[in-house]
Amino acid sequence: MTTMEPEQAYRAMMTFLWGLWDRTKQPGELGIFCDMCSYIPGVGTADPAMWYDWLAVVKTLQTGLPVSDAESATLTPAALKPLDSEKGYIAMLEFIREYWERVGRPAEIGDLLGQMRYTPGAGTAEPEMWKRWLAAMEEVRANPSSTSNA
Amino acid sequence: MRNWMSVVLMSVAMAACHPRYVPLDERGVGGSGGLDSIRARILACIAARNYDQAREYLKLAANMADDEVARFEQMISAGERGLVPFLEKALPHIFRAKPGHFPVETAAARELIQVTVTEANFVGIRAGGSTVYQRILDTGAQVWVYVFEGAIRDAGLNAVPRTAEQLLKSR
Repeated sequence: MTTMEPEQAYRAMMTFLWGLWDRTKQPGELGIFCDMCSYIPGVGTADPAMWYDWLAVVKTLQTGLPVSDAESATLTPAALKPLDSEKGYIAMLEFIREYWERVGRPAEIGDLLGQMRYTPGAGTAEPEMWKRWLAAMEEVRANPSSTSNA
Repeated sequence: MRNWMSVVLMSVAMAACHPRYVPLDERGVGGSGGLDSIRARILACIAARNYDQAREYLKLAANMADDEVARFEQMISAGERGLVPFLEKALPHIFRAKPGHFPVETAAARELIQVTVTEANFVGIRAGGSTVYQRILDTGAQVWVYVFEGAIRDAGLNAVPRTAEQLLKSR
């Protein structure tokens, strides 16, 4: 099974999210979220905390243990294991869900989470979402040029 | 007749109150019952630009912690100065102990962020629609702010300043 490093998975998530935003390009909650999460290799995320939020989500997914804010600020991708396509998708879902909860559950992001809902064995609520995720991963694998962040 | 006129005058007065802050039902006001009521009234007054009344309500909040009083005083002052307000729902995202952020919502941190949103500090508009502002403090740190639809949606403090290109790069 092909896996991705946490940084590659993050880039795949951003390819996936920007792809969704590109469908309408309507300024709104998804656009703001994409702005905050934008990733510059070697620099970090536009909102620096988003990168550490991502690493914390991945660590929790891999260990089953919550990660404190203080601990998340010390996390590096090297401390985490690679993710397969399913785990990468679940990490993305959790990352978005955490943000959605933190900012008062905006409807646009809530709707997106509903479309993205994933059931093991059954796939995503909106089948197109899984196809988009696989395509995003392929795009990142085809363009691996990137430096490790933080 | 006089009662009818009072209702009309009240309606006109209320309509003239153009809110400068996000509506009350968009805000989180937690805490104990009595203070909750005062908090809600202060926020409503700020939204209605009734700053003198907001200060009167603040005086009634005898049990309010000093740091919260300072935050409300800053909110009132910021409203009077016409500064761009925070989206209250975004506050838990903005103020948290994470890299690039102010760890706690203090009056001073709110002030540093809000006074950054000026024409002189405008950087540009990101691909998703957020307008970006930044300024460098005397300490060398960089305050950065995202504004969308007239409210602050994200903000923080970079110990190492980023360039305008880095602040705007999306993908």
